[in-house]
This record gives sequence, structure tokens and C-alpha cells, in this order.
Amino acid sequence: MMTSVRHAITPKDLNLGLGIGWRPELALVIDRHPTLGFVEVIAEDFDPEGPIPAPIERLRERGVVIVPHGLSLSLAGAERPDRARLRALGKLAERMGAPLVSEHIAFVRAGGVESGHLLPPPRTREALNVLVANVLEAQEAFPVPLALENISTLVEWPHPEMSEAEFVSELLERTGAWLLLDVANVYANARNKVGEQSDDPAGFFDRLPLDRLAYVHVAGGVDRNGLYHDTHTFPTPGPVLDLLEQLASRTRVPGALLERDDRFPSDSELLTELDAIASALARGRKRIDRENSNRSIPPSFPIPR
Amino acid sequence: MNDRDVFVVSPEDRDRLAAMQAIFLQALTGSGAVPEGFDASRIEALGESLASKRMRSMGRAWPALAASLGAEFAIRFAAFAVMNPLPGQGGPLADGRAFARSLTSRGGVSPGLSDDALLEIMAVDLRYRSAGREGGLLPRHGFAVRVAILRTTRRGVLAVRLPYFGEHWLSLPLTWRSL
Repeated sequence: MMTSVRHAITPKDLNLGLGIGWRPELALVIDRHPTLGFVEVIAEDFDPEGPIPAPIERLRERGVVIVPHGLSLSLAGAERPDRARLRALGKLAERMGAPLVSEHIAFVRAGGVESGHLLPPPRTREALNVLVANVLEAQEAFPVPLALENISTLVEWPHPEMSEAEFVSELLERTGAWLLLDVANVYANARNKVGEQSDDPAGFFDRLPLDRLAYVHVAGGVDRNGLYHDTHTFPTPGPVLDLLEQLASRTRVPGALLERDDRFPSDSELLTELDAIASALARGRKRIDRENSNRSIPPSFPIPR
Repeated sequence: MNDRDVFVVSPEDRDRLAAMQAIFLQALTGSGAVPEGFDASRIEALGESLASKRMRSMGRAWPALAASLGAEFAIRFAAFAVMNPLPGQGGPLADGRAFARSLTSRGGVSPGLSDDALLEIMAVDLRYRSAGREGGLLPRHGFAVRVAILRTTRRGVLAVRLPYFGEHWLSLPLTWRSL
């Protein structure tokens, strides 16, 4: 198996805890939150050569981990990743003392046109080879490990040669990259009847290499014209929290991060939502503990059925 | 040495994928037909979602400019977006800068931007420079100076950006009548 030889740490060494996607509108509530473990910053919003904004510096000083999250590398695009963008993300990671960086299994531009959106690659062997080459090149440019995120999509390419779980598993296997599992994206794909996630979203987890899980995303979206859009504009819905619980009952979740964009909630709303996420994780962990304790006490006599 | 160092894909693989992805994106932006095998209604839904996301993101990056145009904003931006793809660098901020330029460059059709919108444009120009060939904006690191005349409040604003010494803004009342 392909392993990450350049970095001594594995996802098992991560203990990120609870996190929020840092946005200027949320700076105050994030700054005040006493137990936040990590934040993600949108890499493209920061000048890697300029000063690190004071609120981010302050978070670092109190031990909150900062993870630069890229949107524009277009790793699943046909072109090789742009050197300047790779350098910028690597530099941010270094300057923010990040233990990892993250990006998406997506392309954002093609034929010289920017889409402004994360688009799914065709799930063909050829596209996977290009993606693997791009990820390997990106990893060379980063001082820390790279985690890759599954996206949600409304559109699927015809004639896929493999399932999404196979595609993601092989990608991680061949590159040694870690997994950023967006649970809300799995839910969105399930709601929109996209791919294998439509029938059994939790079963999708079982077909992924969860030992590579670095952290998860959760968020709430909106129903529009019969489709679910993962807009990050509403509180995380119950089914997403249920999926998070199911995931936490299968594996250790090193970090869980809430994404909110637009329609920013009040402080109390946001704290309630973080509590709900923590509870879902705790419920899942409890299920593991219960199963383990059931297993560890062998019955001393046959249990009558 | 391990196999990660020697793995290469052929240029032909990349070219084939590039062509497929370009056709897909053209269908999404409405500049090409829906390719065979795709669900046309989903392509349409995703295309609409892309367009509305682009406008929302731009409006969020440029609150004063969007507010200044009021109900006209959506109409004017939609018209602009059809003709101008997203810039390669700088995202919604760069998109908004190009949009603002398109408003002022149409001779005679002045949108009458508010003072706040003019200041917003000025602040962005002070902090970002044109990305050149690729289009869009990149952070500015050197010296910059900008001037604006605010008609509503009758003030002249001078802003200077200096390496290591930050930004300095000066606002002066303009008293002569010709304004």
C-alpha cells in the first residue's frame, strides 16, 4: 500500500475536536468560543505574503488549530495544478502552523473558463490517473499532509467506470492523501439521487478507507425546485447529524467542522448547533463503546434464545 | 524512491479529459449544448445554481456597489455575466471589479454610483492590482495612490498605500460650486 513517506504523522495523531469554518462575519463568536479546537480558513481569501489577520493570529496564540482549505486548485481538472496556487497554499500552511491542508476532489475550471464552483470529474480510470498525478504534484509542494474532500453534485457524468467509493478509495490509496469527509455532501447526493449514495448513505462510509479520516464537514442546505442544495445557509439538519452519528459509531472522528456561509446565525444559534454536532459524535462513540464492552465480556454460559 | 515519484500521465490523457470537461462547463454556462448522456434538466439546474451563486458571491464581496444599484443590480450583473466569464484570479472581488468597470466604461450611461460604492472601488484598487493576461486581481504589495470625488457629500478623498506603513486616507470638504 502507498503510504505517506514524507510525513511522520497519520490521521490517528490528529485531535482537532470541534471546529467552524472561519468567516469574517463569525470572527467574534469564534474568538469568544472557549473550547473550539480548530478553524478552517478559505485559502484564497488570504494573501500568503501579507500579514496574517489579527483574529487568526489570536486564535493561534490560544492553541486553536488553523487549517487552510483550498477551493481553486482544481486537482481533478485536466491541467497540472498551478504552481503559484500550490505555493500560496503551502506557504499559508507554514505561516499558520497548520498540521494539514485540505482541498476538493473536483475541478473548477476547464478550457480557460472559471466555473466558480466545485464540479465532479468523470469517474473513469483515465480521469483518476490524471487526478492522482495532480495530487502527487500538489503534495510535493506542501510542507504538511493533504486531505481531500468528497463533493456534492447535481449532475453525474454518464458511463462511470467505478463507484464513487472505489474512485475515492483508490485515489487515497495511490496518493497517501487523507480523507476530509463532508457528511452533508453525502446527504445532499443521497437526497438528489446521485450515485451509490442515493440508496444507502451510511453504507457509503463502509466502503471508504476510514482509517484515513482527518476530519469531517457538516452543514445545512436548502430545498429548491425539488433538489437539495448544500448552501451552508441553514442549521445542520437532523438527517446529517444522524449520518454523523453513524460515522462516529464506525470510526474515530478526529475533528468535526461546521460550515456556515451567508445568512449568518446569531451567536446562540451557532453555539446550539455546535452542541448538536458534539452530541451526535458522543452518541456515535457511545455505540462503539457499548459494542466493545459487549464483545469484551464473553458469556460464561450459553445465553438462552 | 517509491512509485509516487515515477507516476506520469500522458499528455493525450490530459487532452482528452480537458476536452470532456470543457464541453461539460460550456453546457453549464449555456454556451454549449448538453453533451450526450447527461440529464439535461440537471445540467440546467446546476447552471442556474452557478449563475445565482456567482451573483450572490459578487454582491457579498461588494455590498456598497450592489446596494448602490438597488433592483438594477441583478439585471445589470446578469447581462454582464453572460458576456464576461469569471476572472482567473481573485474570485468574486475581481468579478465585481470588472463589473464596476463595465458600468463606468459605457459612455454616457452613468449608473450614478453612491459615495460608498466609489469608496469601495477605491479601497479595492488600493489593495489589489490587475492580474494581467489571466484577468482578475492579485494582492498589491507596492505603493499605490487613489483619488475620488464624492458628489453627494462634496468631499475629495485621497488614499495612499505604502509598503510597511499601511494605508492612509484623507478626506477633505470641497467647497467650490462647480460640483
